[in-house]
Amino acid sequence: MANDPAELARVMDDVEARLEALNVSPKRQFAVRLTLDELLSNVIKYAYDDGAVHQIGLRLEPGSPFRVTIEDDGQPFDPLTEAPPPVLDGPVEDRPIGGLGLHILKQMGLRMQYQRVNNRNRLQVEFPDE
Amino acid sequence: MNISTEKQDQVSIVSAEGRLDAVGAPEVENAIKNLVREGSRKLVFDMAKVAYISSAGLRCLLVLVKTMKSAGGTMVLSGLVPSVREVMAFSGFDSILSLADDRAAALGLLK
Repeated sequence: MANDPAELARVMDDVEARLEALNVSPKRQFAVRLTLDELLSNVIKYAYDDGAVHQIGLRLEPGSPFRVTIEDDGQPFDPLTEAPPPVLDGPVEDRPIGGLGLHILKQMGLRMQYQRVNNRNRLQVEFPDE
Repeated sequence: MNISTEKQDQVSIVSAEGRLDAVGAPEVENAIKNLVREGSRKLVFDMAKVAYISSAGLRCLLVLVKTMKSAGGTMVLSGLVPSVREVMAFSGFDSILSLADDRAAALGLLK
């Protein structure tokens, strides 16, 4: 897929149709959508600063464990160690927004593994068995 | 996203159907901000038919809570489905947003 927000919506619908065809449970479908939504929008928003079109790779492996891999040729970024921590307490007025999507994914019990391979970011996500 | 609005006594009730994500969130944000601009100070956002929420949706709710609060009003969210509620809990947002089980309970909180 291209690094374009409009493309993201199309890919998500496509993924949903495939998960539906594979009889993936609604709970897992929700988790996969949230994962791709958060990770791919981060790549689209932050990985590139050259204004050019880039291809982002996406692989779904619906086995056990259920696995999703995202690859991009953007700036090196390890979301597991470099994402800004979200601020989750304190009054509403003082809460900055940042790192929220990744924080939620970590809370969901997903196993995430980051590698920089051939000048590409590769993030592999495994979903816990149900 | 389908959004509808009604008024019961002094309370505006906004219901949305669809996904509160990067696409749906701006629509809800505009609809509710308009109501606040028009003078609504008690508002229920009925999320019973919101099947999905992402961090973009959470951001929008945070902005709306702040908008309502600085206008001197109150917004209550009602009827969250379990998966949406779970995301709220993971994000810690459940402690800063007013949540009610259903519309009637939300209206009760705004009495």
